[in-house]
Amino acid sequence: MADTPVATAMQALTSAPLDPGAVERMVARPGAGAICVFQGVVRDSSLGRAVAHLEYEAYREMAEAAMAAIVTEAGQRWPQARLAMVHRTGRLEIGEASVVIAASHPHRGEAFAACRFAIDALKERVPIWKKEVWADGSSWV
Amino acid sequence: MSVTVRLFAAFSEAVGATRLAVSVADGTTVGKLWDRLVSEHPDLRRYPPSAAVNATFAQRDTVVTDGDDVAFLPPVSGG
Repeated sequence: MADTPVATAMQALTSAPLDPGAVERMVARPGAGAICVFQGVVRDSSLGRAVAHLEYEAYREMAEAAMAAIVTEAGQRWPQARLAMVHRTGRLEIGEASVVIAASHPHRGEAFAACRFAIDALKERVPIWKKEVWADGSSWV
Repeated sequence: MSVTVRLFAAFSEAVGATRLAVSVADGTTVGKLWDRLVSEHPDLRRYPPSAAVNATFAQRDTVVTDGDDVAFLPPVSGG
């Protein structure tokens, strides 16, 4: 059976807390010698300001399509890779994951590369917006 | 002709709405629609927009038609 990339079978966007293990399990398979999991995590400061929490908003229809396109492109660039990505929307507290990306491949070089590609492409292309909320105000990033 | 303007993030904050029903003349382009919004809500000038018509990226010279969903998107910041 051809080793085809799995388009995101799990929801690409969710308001629920992310489960990195579940995303990892989406891409694990007997032929994959390497699995890379990236988590974007809310940190406590940004440009010198203390962050209270973040809020993420998405243009759902386009964001899901853009994430699916990234998965497809990764499959074309690394034919034996599998990729899954989930981004959370709504309010996120410090330490919570905003995005989880898992990439598997027979070999680690390609798994790292596909995972890196996916997060870089997401940050550049996917219609999702982050709002930082500080003690004394807030701003869309 | 009527289109629905969809706004997100800083743009929806600038306008105070996520959706607007807008009457437009035949042949109106995405660019003309944006210019009109900016004239009514100058805070929109703050960020360069991307535009999408019916969830497909569009250019300034894309012509809108009756019933279209026209989204204006500020620079993205996901991840």
